[in-house]
Amino acid sequence: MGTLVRPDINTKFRVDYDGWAERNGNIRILIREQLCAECKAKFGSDAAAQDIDWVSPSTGEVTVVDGLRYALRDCCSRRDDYISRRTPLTAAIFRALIADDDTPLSATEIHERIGRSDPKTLLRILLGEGMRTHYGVRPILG
Amino acid sequence: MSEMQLDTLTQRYWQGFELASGDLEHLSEVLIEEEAPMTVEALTRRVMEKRLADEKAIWDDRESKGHIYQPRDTYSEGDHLVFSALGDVVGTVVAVRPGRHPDHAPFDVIQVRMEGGGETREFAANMGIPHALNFIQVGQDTDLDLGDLAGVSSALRHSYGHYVKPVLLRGLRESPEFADFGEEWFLRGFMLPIEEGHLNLAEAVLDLAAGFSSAQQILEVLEMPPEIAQAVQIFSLNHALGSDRQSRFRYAGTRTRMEWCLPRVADSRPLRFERGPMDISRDHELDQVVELITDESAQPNGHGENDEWSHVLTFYDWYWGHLPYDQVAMNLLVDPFIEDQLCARVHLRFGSGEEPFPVIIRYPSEERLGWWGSAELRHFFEVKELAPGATVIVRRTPASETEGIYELDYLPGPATRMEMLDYDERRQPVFRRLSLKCAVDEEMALPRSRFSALEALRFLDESERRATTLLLKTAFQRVGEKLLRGLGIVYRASFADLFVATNIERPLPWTILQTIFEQEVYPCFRIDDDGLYLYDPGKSDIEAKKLRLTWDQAILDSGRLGR
Repeated sequence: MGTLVRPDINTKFRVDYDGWAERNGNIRILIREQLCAECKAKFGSDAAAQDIDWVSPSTGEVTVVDGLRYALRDCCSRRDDYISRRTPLTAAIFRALIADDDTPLSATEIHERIGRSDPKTLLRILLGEGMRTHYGVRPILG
Repeated sequence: MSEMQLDTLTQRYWQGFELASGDLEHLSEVLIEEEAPMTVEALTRRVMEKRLADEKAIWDDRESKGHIYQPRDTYSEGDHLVFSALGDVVGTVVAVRPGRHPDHAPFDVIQVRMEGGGETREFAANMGIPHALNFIQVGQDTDLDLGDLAGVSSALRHSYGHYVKPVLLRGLRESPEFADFGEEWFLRGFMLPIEEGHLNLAEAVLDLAAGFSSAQQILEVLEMPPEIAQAVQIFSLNHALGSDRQSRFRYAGTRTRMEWCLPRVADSRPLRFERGPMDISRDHELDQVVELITDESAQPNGHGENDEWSHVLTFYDWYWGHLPYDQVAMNLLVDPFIEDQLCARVHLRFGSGEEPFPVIIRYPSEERLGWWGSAELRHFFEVKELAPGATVIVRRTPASETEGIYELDYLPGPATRMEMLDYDERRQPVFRRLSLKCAVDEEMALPRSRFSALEALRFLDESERRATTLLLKTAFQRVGEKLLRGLGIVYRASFADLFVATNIERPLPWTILQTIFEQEVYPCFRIDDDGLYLYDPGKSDIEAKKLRLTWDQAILDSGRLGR
């Protein structure tokens, strides 16, 4: 029998995109809500067809990438108001997790990024029902 | 015209220029092929030409395989493309679709089947935004023709050579294979072996020629192998003479007229009364009254171009066949050709019918003024019946830069006779009746009517005249008006009289003399309320500071023009 691992403030969390797909949910709608006004206008409301052709600046080669996540990484997450005091705490945690190419983060790291609450409280929120069902956030265990 | 698409045609490329391993090897081949030394400018052009040719060859090779891919171009199915950023791999366009990107204007995405593995990759095309792979359109409005690599590389050297030259120069200096003389470089291993015996022969040639000979004249005696190119022979000789361990030889030529001097002979050849050029040069050393300063705010005296130089002769000039080397003279005369060159021989020609005669330029150094002159110049003053106060004019000629020939003239005047200061056979001052055929600046002349007291006074010995303050005090005593002021005697004189009197036994530039009074560093020298110059012997013993002058002011600024 395997050993259960109890998440702590150093356990990494990530957004489970596969879980979203299995539940037939559309995380793109959720991501679109995090975009800045400029990018929202640029991409319009059609969340389904928003892959873009990213052009390599050195070779000209094209790579198809998710347009919303590209915009989030290259534009919105770099703005000062991406995570502000007025951003709801759960939304702030989600924005921190999707900002940097979906790099998994621990409660401690999220605390450093958003500068609010404390790691233990954030851990409790991360493990809560809301983060799991609404944002698809899962701990990486083992 | 070929389309200009090469990196070597851009400023960006040359700004970051560094020597590659093959560059110096290429220059070695060029020098062997040319069988002649080359200037660093010419070598710079050859390096740039090589880089251009190499890149063009790569370009030509790519073009032979297909179109060179650029994101800004439009392509169709079936086009063969070469991808320079992917190691020149080749592929064929198999499909075109619209590109999707909210930040870019509409563009295409081409699907390309790559040669070899057959995989299909996608590339941007018909893209309006800048991209590193788009060719920089250089010189499209010019007549650059890539078929004429020599012409294009000349134009490149003109535009970007200043980035390349210092890097190349550093590489040449660090390489043991290259040797230089002046501005030229050649291969050490291909120079003629000049042995000690050759140097002894060269010394004999210079000795017989009274100290000066051209490299060509020396070579005629050395009998070098005739199959060796003349340019290599001359370069080898120049390099050997310049590197002589005994330092017997001194370069005295110009850029195109290679000439050598044997200081042992040339410096000791008397000008008059056993005094030779070495003695005259010693008269030009700044004594300790001047402290050279660096003035950051001063406008640098740029090396300009002057076609004419005129000068009113002082007694010293007239007597020794001497002319001062000031800023204007520097701008007129040939520059030193090699680093640390001390002298150069040029020729002055009076009128078209007369033979040019030599004068030696002695370039200034850190603490010594420059001068130019010769026994022949003194002879000219005598034959043409010039005197102190005469105005001589030297003009540039078309042969100045190449042959070092300048035109000499003077302001003529009615034939007359005047009692002027001179030395007798025992080097004692005496007034003689001289015949003159020149205009005379009366302020600078030394007639008996103005300076009769000079005849009765002992002239200064060498150590006395080199001490500027003693020279000046003596000048006051010789030409000044003696006055009783308070409890003591003071001497009063006009500036012109002081200048004339101090410039009898050694050159003392106008600027230094003027500064002694203007900076008020000597309590015994001052300007009175009438604008006349005073010497108060009672204050001679008070310690003085030094004159603070920049090198340009102390060494090059004669000050006469600003009078």
